Amino acid sequence: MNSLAAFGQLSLVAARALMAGPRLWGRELMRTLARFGTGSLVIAICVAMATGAIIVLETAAYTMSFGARDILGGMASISILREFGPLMVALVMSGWVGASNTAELGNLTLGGQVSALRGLGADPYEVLVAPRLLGTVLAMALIALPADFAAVLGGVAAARIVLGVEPAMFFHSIDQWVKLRDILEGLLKTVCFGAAIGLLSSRSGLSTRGGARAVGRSVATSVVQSVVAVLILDFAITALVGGRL
Amino acid sequence: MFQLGAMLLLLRTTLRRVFARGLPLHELARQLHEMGNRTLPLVLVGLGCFGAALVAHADHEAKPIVQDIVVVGPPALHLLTRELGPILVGGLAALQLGSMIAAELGTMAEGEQLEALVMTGGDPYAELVAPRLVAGVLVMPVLFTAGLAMAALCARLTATYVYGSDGAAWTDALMTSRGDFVYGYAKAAIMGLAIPLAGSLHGLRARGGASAVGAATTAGAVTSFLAMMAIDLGAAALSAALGAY
Repeated sequence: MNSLAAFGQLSLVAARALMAGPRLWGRELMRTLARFGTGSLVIAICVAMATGAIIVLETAAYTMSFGARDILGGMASISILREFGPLMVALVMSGWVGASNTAELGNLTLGGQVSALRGLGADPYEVLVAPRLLGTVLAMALIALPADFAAVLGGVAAARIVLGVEPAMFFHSIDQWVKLRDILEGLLKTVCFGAAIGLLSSRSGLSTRGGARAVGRSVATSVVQSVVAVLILDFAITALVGGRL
Repeated sequence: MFQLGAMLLLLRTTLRRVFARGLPLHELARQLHEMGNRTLPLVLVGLGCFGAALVAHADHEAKPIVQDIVVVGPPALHLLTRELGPILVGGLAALQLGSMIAAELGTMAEGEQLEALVMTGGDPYAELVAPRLVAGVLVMPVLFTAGLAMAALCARLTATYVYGSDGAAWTDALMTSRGDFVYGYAKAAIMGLAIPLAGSLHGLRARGGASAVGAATTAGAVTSFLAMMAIDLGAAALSAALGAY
């Protein structure tokens, strides 16, 4: 019953944020973009580089055992760009962007500022929720390409330093194997993950009730729900793009 | 780098205090219960979804080359055991436990309960940090076992009922040796030490009101996640350099 109520609440937040979209506050959108976009870039790049390096080292276990050094870059990059890069970046963003958004909205709700906005005749969805939702989606989309680039660079570095594979061979393999649709699928996933994180973290923040401890509980709930949503969406999008759902 | 140094210092201080004062077993039992029970549902749902996504990814990427995804099953289980299982269980535990520990200790630090503990002859390192570190080391391999089993089971079911393939291949340990399991468990245990260490570090440092506890919670989750990625990358590089595949 609680899950049903939470789903209903989530649908209402999504519908009201969409309706408020055309009148959203531009200044809050820019603030969200600066905070969640540029503020998260370093973390996203670190995670992406590590993910790229790890996937290359693991893929090497299979390609190198067949003596196929020349396909390492292509094989690993498809997995990095389409699956593991977007997934790992979204997981860490659930803990960073999602938690920050929930904590901010939770504190505003508890402090009575959300009610005060209504009292002044302003719609909190136009002022706070729609800009944060759109800001999270845009921030994730803007982070995606630098993160992809960093992930491939992490893979190149691991291949050169640990496995002795020349960067030229690695990039040639990427050129042969990786298609534009692999990058686009990764971008699509990142945008959908961003929407899920923005929506779930906003809902958790707005439904915060109680004292300061309630904000902590809302943050924990928001992170867990975002992570589960990201993993479910990952399967759904992969299966959908593959024509199975 | 600063975080790494601070974490190592915290580990050294905690070990010294534990050797001097002993480990409180009742707190250890409470932490085992809390950390295990709170994270298990997340790990089961998350790894279940990932197991299904792995089959979808294999169908998408490998089918044009291998015709039937049944041949991808044993290498996928090998990869899950060595790499993807530990990194995903570690990631989910970092977000859940890192934030939980930082929030708990941060609330205590902010409420001056740590000072009260010292005044009554207690020691926050031996009585609060050490049980969390030991519980993390003990809980993570259990979570890894549960997550790996769930991922393999969901992959088997998805391959059988969604993709019409022989799902038994996804639980076939043909390519997975005892050494791969030892490697996976060792990584999970080391991550189990690093995650509570990062959470405790940010929790103990929290000062300056409820917003500081919120900031510590987010920092605890993200630092735990980055520490987990660093451990995984180090292990993968070492393993590849030693030619352990």
